[in-house]
Amino acid sequence: MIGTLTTSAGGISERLPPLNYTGISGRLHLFNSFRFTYKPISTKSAFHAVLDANPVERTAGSRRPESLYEVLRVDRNATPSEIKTAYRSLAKIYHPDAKLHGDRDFIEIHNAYATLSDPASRASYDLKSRLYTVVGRRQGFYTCQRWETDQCW
Amino acid sequence: MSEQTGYTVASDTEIAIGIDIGTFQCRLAVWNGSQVELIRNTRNQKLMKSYVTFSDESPSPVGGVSNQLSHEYEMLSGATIFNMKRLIGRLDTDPIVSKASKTLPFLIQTLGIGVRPFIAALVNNIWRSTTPEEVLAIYLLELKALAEARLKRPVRDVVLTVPAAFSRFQLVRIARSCAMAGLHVLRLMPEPAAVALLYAQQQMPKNMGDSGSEKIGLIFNMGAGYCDVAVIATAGGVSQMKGLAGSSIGGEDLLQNTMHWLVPEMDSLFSSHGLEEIKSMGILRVATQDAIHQLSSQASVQIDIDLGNGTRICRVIDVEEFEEINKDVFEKCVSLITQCLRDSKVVKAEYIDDVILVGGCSSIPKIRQIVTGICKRSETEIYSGINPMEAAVRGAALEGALASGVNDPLGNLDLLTIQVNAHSIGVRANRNTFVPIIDRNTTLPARREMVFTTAHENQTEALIVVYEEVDDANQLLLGYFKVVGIPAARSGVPEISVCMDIDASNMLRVMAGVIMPGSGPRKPVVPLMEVRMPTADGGHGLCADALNKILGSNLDLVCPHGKLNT
Repeated sequence: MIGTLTTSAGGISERLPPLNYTGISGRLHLFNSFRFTYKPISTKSAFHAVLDANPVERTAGSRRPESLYEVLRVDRNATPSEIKTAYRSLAKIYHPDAKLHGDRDFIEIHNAYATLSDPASRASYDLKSRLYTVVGRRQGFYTCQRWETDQCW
Repeated sequence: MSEQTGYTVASDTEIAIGIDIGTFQCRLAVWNGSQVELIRNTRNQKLMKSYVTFSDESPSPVGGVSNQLSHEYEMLSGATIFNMKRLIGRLDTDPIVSKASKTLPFLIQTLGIGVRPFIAALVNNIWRSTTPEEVLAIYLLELKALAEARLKRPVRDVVLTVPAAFSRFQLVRIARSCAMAGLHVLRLMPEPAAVALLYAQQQMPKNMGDSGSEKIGLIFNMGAGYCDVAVIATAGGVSQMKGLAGSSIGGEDLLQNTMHWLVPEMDSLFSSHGLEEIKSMGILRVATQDAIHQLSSQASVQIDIDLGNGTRICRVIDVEEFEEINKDVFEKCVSLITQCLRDSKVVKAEYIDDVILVGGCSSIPKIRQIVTGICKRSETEIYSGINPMEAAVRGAALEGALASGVNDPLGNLDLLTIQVNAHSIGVRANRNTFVPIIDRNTTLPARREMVFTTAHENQTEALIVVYEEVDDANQLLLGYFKVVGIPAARSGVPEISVCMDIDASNMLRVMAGVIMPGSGPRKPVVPLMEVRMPTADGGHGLCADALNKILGSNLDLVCPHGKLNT
């Protein structure tokens, strides 16, 4: 369409071939601890928010990360419809468009819902979290990453 | 938290109005305290034609809000600009623009080099230049004046519906038009999202506390300029969008294709835009439009017109012929629906509870046949609770009330639509590969991060080039910025993290930072960059070429570990 890499109407200059489509999962989580606000933010405060937060020191502490069930405030053996209802009622509070405007991150709530509402990913999540309680956290390994998104297992 | 429930909004609170600017027609609506009400013009019409006429007689151009055409031909003299929504934010390399330049009575000049087209209206035998944004702003000013007269208060805040297919450039241009008209945009919402909001309100359980069971709805919306498809899951007033797809196809394409079928040599015939040619083009357009409308209710239509230049056209067109001429458009509709169902993981058509068919083209038999065919149900099973011509504007007015913080004691505004991102957004890496960071159909707000590295030894700068994929393998350059101060190192060592964030109002921010591994705490070595996109303006087609030509691969990004094939 407009001004893309693929249009070659005039051929006035060397055009790029169409871009290929690929996906990777390399993640650094530099911005993990960074909370974007939904109003235009001053750049200065944004930078400080990131620079002041040290992901390693912050999450390597003793605080156990919330499980996805805890994020959605449901029981481990909640039915799919209970999970849906929980997600919807949390959305009504924490979605940025919602009137009540809670201060929790809706993205986190949605990610938990995305995992738990899909039977296959919920099963693999449950399996991983059971392994997690058996094996426990390995020292200094992926301490800066949220374990449920980590693929190193 | 909300103690003040029980009363409607205080009278000094401004409730944003909802506007649905169509390619062909426009509607206005507002929440009146208990329900959505459509605003009628001085002629008591709810549907107003989208056009602006330039002339020397009246001090300012007049639009279709209050003006009444004595005949359709008046709109086709070259002095009137219409189809603004199709043209806004497009470059002259866009096939839609070049097609429009050959079939519209006003002037659209294209050079085909990736700059904005030259658009002009004919006033006293002079082609006077304008832009789609300016025309839209004039039209919006009329709408604003109408709303203010009807509501007897100043109107500033608006919610506008936009097609799902709109690129971020087009969104920026629409917002600019609103600013020119003195309107403050609270939300530019995709048309299906507006319909979803209306549907969610209708599906609200009657007794509070009962969230009801989840209903899956398929929304198909096709107007004169655009087609959108969405799959939504609704329960308890909350609509979660599961998939969204859109394309720049609509009634205008059906019209242009049929005009070409009637006069195959029309491109060369009308290319000079002389007065006689403009007139013939107008006659052909009106006759074709009428014929298409009649084909919605009858099997064949006789077209008998004199184009005035010695050419007389006398042909019969039947429904089969019409469908054959427009095969591509209808095939695109099919592919949009199937793609949307696939993206939404709706594996069986039987899982869809309601099929919602809206927009000006929803009365075309072939369109109804396509949608009901894929959804495996009969025409009578199409959701009937929504007026197809008013769905989007009613949803926009609901959103306007929500965004203005209106409370409804009856809970009629206890609504939420959770939207998704219509197009993938990513960066260029590994020389020429588009690497999506936020995929299409990602729930908003969204935030994703991906790590890249340098392509060369001791590379101290990297260029982050951000693209939006508006169609399959068709990427638009949104903007670019450099990350500088990368410490000298072997290629592949520095970690360049790129984070994209889209908030609930669909604003995109791109952030980037550099980390050197193995040097204690993982702190960025230079200040992070945060850029609001799009930054590239008109001429971004040329811009992408220039970046590639001048900088080459010197500032390239690479995905680590060779995970991508170049």
